[in-house]
Amino acid sequence: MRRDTAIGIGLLVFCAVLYWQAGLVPVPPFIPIGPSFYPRIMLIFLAGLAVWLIAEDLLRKRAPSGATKKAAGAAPDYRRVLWGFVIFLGYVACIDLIGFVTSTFLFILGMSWAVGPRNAREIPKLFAVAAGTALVCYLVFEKYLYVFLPRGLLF
Amino acid sequence: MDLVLSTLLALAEPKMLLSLCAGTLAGIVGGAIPGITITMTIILTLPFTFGMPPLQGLATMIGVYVGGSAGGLVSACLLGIPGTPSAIATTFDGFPMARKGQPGRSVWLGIWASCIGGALAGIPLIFGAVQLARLALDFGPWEFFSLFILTLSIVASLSEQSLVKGLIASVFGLLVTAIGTDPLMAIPRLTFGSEFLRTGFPFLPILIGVFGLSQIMTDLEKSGSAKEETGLSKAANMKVSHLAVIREIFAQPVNLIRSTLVGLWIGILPAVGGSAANILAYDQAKKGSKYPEKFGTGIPDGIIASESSNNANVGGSLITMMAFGIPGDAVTAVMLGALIIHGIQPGPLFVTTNAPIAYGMFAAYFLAHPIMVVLEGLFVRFAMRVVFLPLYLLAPVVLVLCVIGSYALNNIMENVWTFFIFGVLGYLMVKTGFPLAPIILGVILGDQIETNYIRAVMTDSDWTLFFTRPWSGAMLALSVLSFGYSLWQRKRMAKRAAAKAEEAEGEIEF
Repeated sequence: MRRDTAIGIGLLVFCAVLYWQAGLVPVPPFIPIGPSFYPRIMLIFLAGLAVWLIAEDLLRKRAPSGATKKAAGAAPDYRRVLWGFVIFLGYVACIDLIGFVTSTFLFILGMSWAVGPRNAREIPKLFAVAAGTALVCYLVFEKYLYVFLPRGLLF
Repeated sequence: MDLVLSTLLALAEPKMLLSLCAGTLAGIVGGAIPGITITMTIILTLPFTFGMPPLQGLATMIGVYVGGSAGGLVSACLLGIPGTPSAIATTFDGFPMARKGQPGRSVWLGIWASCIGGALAGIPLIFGAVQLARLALDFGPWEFFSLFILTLSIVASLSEQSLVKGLIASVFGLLVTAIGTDPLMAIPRLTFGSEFLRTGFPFLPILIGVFGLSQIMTDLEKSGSAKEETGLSKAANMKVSHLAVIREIFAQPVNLIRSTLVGLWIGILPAVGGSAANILAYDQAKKGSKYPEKFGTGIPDGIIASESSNNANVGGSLITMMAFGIPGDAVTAVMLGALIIHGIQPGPLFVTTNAPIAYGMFAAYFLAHPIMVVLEGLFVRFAMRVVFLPLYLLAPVVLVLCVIGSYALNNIMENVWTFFIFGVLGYLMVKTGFPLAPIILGVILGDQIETNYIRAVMTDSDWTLFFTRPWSGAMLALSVLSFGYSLWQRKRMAKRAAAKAEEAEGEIEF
């Protein structure tokens, strides 16, 4: 299936689910327009646009096989992106659990190692950046700007 | 003008001045680093402004905006890589000039053109914002509704990618604001019974996620560092005669004024931004030049056009933000968020009810330009060193600051999760060709569109008023025209591309 067609179908399903959900909102009797009116209008618009997207995609001529040219330059390194997202997700999940300062230190260390050159000589530099960032964030935000950063089991 | 002068004096207080300088420096450094946009820099500055009085916080952000708009030229001229999208056209002539052995002239032409173009745009900023705000005071809910629809239609139509994708992003943004309690009766809707969704999604974490996380992840795709390939010497000779450079700029009054006006106009148009302004100004300078063939070889005309337009664009964006409460681009969107955090409602009443802050912003804008020149002079070498920081060290530090920016909004982790969810969504949108600006504008304007629509209908059930009230009708007509023009232009471009492809095929066959 073409990519835009798949997105369009996904949007139609999304609209249908939200439209049904909007129907569950209680309507106050004294107001002519209920709270579900606006989202339903938007959902109808969005569904219409999704159909337009699908139609546009299906009507677009498919490029003949072998005619597609690869863009100049290196191919995107999606593995680094995936690592980035996974480590960042772990970081966000850990902030409440082990505390902001510790999780920030571990996150910077882990992410810069995972997406960096993974050279043993870099380790002291990574440690310094991770410790420095965690410490500076703690001092500036918690001590100076009074932002109470999350505390967990550790710090 | 008296108010501007008195607020200029207020800004001369050491604390204020320090914040403005710090913001400008942050903007210069952030703007100089390829991959860190002005939006990203202002997002990173945001948490630092939470504890400041409103004017001090806004002055810091204006400093970032002005500094960032000029900071991108450093790496554009010396590395050949634009530090920000608003310095793309600066690369065309700035880099060749630097490679010819004139890096100082190249950088300083850009800095002075930024300063002069930005300062010139400050005059229409003051008078334009005040006059437009006065006009907007006569607007009723019909006019506001139509104005927001016009704004969204312009943004969606100007999307570089497909029109339908721009529209989908806009409507999706509007829909995001519908999640949670409705703005008039506070009845929860589309929450699926979740407590997390009950309060709705706050705007700033969405913005930080959509622009910040998606930008960092897109940068991570590029495994090599292009910076190493340019062969730039960190010790490039930056010495130059400032008087000669300024003379060179004023020797091209038409180019300077035309580019400033282009930047100003693009800035006034919602969510278009400096990236379009500098390229359009460069294009106009080339078309209007007696020697267009020399463009791209390292002539001052191209640098002056690009840099004066991108700083004038800042003034234009501020006009739209201050007069109507509509962000001119993502940077002013963050500023709007900061205003709301400080309990100030942006909109046409802002200039009159918060005159000291509004005029303080004008004064900060003017003051930021000479400060930018001084700081660029002092820190241009430092900025160059920061440019060489590897992404694998920079990316996690930037993400940590994004997390703090989202969390510190009201000290809850739900905001960080919102940031993450919309960051993933933003990245997927980039990868599938959906523009990001319309979704953000949709989120900003969603509540206001709904509120004004319902107010209009509850005031008078006659829906034809949207079309028959002069301003409202004119703005809706302009929305339709904007769509029509966009569709026509895209069709024409597709036809041209098809004709070119056919020509190329014919040549191959022969």
